[in-house]
Amino acid sequence: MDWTFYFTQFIAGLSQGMFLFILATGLSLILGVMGIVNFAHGSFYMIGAYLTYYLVTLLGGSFWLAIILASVSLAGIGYLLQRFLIHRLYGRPELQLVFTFAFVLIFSDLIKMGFGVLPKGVAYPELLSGIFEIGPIRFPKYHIFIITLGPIIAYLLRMLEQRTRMGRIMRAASLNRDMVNALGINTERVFTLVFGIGAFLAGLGGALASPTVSIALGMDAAVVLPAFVVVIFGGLGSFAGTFFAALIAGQVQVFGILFFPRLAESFIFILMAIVLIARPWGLSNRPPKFA
Amino acid sequence: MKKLSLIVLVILLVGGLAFGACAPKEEAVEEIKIGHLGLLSGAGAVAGRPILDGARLAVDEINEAGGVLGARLVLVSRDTGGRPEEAVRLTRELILGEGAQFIQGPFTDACNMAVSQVGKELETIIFPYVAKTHRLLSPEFFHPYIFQPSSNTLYEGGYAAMIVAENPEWKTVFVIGPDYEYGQMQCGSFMSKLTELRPDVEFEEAWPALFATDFTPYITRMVETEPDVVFIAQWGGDFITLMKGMAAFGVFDVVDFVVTVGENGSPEFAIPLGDDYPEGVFANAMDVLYWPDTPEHRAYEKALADISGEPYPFGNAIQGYIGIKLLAAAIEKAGTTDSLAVVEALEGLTIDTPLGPMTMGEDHQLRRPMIWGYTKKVPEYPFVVLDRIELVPYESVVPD
Amino acid sequence: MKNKELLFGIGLFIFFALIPVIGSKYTIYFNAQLLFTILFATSLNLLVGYTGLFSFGHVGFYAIGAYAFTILYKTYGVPFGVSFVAGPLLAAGAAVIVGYLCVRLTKIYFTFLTLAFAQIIWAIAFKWTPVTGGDSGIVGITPSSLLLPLNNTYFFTLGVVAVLMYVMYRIAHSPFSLVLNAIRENPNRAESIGVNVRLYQLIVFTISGFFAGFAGVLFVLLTRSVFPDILLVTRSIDVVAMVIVGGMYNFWGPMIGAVVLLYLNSFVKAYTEYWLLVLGTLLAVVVLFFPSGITGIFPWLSARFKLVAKKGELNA
Repeated sequence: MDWTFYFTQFIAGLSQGMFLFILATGLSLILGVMGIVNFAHGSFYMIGAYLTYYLVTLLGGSFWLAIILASVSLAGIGYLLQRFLIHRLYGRPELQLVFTFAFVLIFSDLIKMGFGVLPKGVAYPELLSGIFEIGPIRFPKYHIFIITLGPIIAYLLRMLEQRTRMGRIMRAASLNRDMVNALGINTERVFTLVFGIGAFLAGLGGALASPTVSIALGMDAAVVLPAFVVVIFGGLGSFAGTFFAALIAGQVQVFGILFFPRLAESFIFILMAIVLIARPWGLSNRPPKFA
Repeated sequence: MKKLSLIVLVILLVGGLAFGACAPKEEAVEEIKIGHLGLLSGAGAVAGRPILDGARLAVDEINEAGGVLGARLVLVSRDTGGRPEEAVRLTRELILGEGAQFIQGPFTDACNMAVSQVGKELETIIFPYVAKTHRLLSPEFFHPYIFQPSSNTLYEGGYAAMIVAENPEWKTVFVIGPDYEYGQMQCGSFMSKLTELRPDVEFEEAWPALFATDFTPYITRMVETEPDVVFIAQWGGDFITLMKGMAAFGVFDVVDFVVTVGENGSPEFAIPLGDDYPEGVFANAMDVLYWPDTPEHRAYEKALADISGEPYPFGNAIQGYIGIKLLAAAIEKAGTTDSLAVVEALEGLTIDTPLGPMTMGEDHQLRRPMIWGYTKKVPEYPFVVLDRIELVPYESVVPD
Repeated sequence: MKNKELLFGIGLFIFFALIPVIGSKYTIYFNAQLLFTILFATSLNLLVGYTGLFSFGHVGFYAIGAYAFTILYKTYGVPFGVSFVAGPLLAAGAAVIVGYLCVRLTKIYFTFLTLAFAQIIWAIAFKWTPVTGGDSGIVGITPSSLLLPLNNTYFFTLGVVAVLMYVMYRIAHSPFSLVLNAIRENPNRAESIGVNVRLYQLIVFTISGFFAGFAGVLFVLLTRSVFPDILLVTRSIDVVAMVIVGGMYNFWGPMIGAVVLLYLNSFVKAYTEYWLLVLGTLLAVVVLFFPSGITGIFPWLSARFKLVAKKGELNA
């Protein structure tokens, strides 16, 4: 095994990391700003993939248009969910948790009703099919695209967080919700917007992942726990934290498989356990002054 | 007083529910009930759903022809979700609660092993429709009521090895399989048979987790080692994701030959892969809608398309179909629904199927041939079909 | 109230004891399963309802009890009596270790760490084939000849469950449980009056794991097999759903929840394959409109809890 092999694995880790980031970042937003444990995040991802399939494979539309439509639809679903249902459970995190999980079950069966049990596939978009070669390194163009897209999204979100009024409110709300309310800002609307953005990002994650995986029931369960690990690892409410956590998680997964192949399913949970035991506040936050 | 009445009410509620859960139903004398343990949700549903369709088709056909011993066949199905705990409970519910006299199913080897024990305990015939592990009939677990109506991993992995062995130029083989019993048995059987035939062959192994979402680390290893042959034991969604990844990385340009087992040549897996399924892959299937071109087979496919509503009927359905036909023929031959008599009737029984005659061995293993072929794109279908098709008998790989 | 509850318990016991007399073979099997599920759900509620610790990994201890018993009894031939007790003891031992690491955390962090541990235990059960039987599990676990007939297994299960439920009942109605309630409502305040919150949480976590271990062993005795699929996340959610639907603020709540959900599962599956939709909708409706569950509909059933306001009503 020479250096090209390890470098290729490194790139594989980057691509896994970025797929994970796009998905986890919406979750980080929802968990950080609203404190809601959104198990249905995986379902949003899955719906995003299925919608893309519907638009591209069944209706024969353009891949890029489909991605945008799918993500926007998810934003709509997220908006409705939060606005009419979830907001009634304000202040009761355990119930929110069970409630979002109830929707995981509901969405799963709705998809089964609508699309059946046969796995679906989406072809790689024309523009990005094929291999990208630099010297001895070969990697699919589509994955390279995702690797470049990840930081762009991270940058955009960071700008949103730091430079806009909405971003400031979101950051403040993640630190102290009641104070923000007391200052006269309608946290309800902020939350609905945040949930919508979070759902949008999850749908985008699913749509972008759709050409690379088998689109089937159960893909929601497969991604939701790794997403939570990344969010906790990175620290709630921080996009930068989620970004770096995703990068690290991607490499852990890839190189872990290389050196300890039999532990493949466990890495993500071992990582979660280690983070929660050693540094539960995550990468980006400072340890709280009071235990 | 109100509190007391509420307590009584609750006791009645609890009691009523617990008791009423499943009182045995009175079965009409003119009915023969077969319990169907289905796999209708989760990753395996892509196979389990068509199997139920196939079973229903067989039941309809038999009833239209007058039933069995003059009685109507009734199929009662439940969804196990691929979970052994659920399968075990449902088996009891079907036998003890619904009065099923025979059990068709389940699917997945974990469920098969568990339900087999229930069949032994309740003295009811268990007739899985797909069972790949050869542990099912091994001396430790064998009993009169268990049968294996599909080929097993000895046959599948073994035949794949025989084909690879034929080409002396192929010396390096990359073996990839899901890391659980089924995958280990397929790959193990492939590697041991190939080593037996061609001691000069070298192996590189990869064991992704079952239902892994990303195979990139394994695929990059494939590209790195540049093997002559790749053997894939992944099935269902794993197979699709893996093949997509291999296509994206251009593995098919680098490797001479790709062979896969686990019915990956069936239309249900070719359809989602679309253009990402290259030509020249050696794959197998329980059944394909386009072959053989006999009147019986065409009639079967047409009826299957009607009952399932699928324009391109799926390959696995035939296992549900054959199972019911076998059971019905055995009951007819035995002249009674008594389990041990039917067991005796099944041993050595040959029936006609849309793929030709098939025989249930004395050892309870069906001599089930499988369809093998090389994938090819054709204008008639929007998915790859199997070319140079052969129906390979069980005995040519696993001698009696 | 207390005397009436004991009467109620005795009434239930008599009712369950009569099942083999009036019920069919399947009813006996179903009720045996119901019994240890009740045990399992009630043990979880010690954590959820009484202490406010939402553990999503409780199946881990259930499974450790089941696997430990199986491995000791079947693989190593350890006598039945010893294996029967060793299983739950090992589960409790694991609960001490896992609990120690988990109670340092609050709320969702706690939940996720319990989940992570359950998944790690699942991975061990799934992969460690020589010991645990791997993905196929272990089948054909023949119990001691005394338990061979179904009726005997049923009565044994009933006996064990009755005893353990009584023990849990006493725990739940002791001063210890009042401290747990206080911790649930406001851990900081409890700490400030001198309660060692972490220690109490660890103790209840261990006790709860111990009882869950028994439920696991009873599972093996009934089904004569053990599989990794009992450790799936969905199983964790199932039992949390039982606690919530039945009502977490009453000792009998989880039992009601177990009865309702098990019966519903069996009933719904006979008619449709969309069980998840039914369960999800039920859960959503309960959480939205009846957060205290079925037993919460009758406020006096939660009277014991009235002194201590339900979580959320006391906004800090």
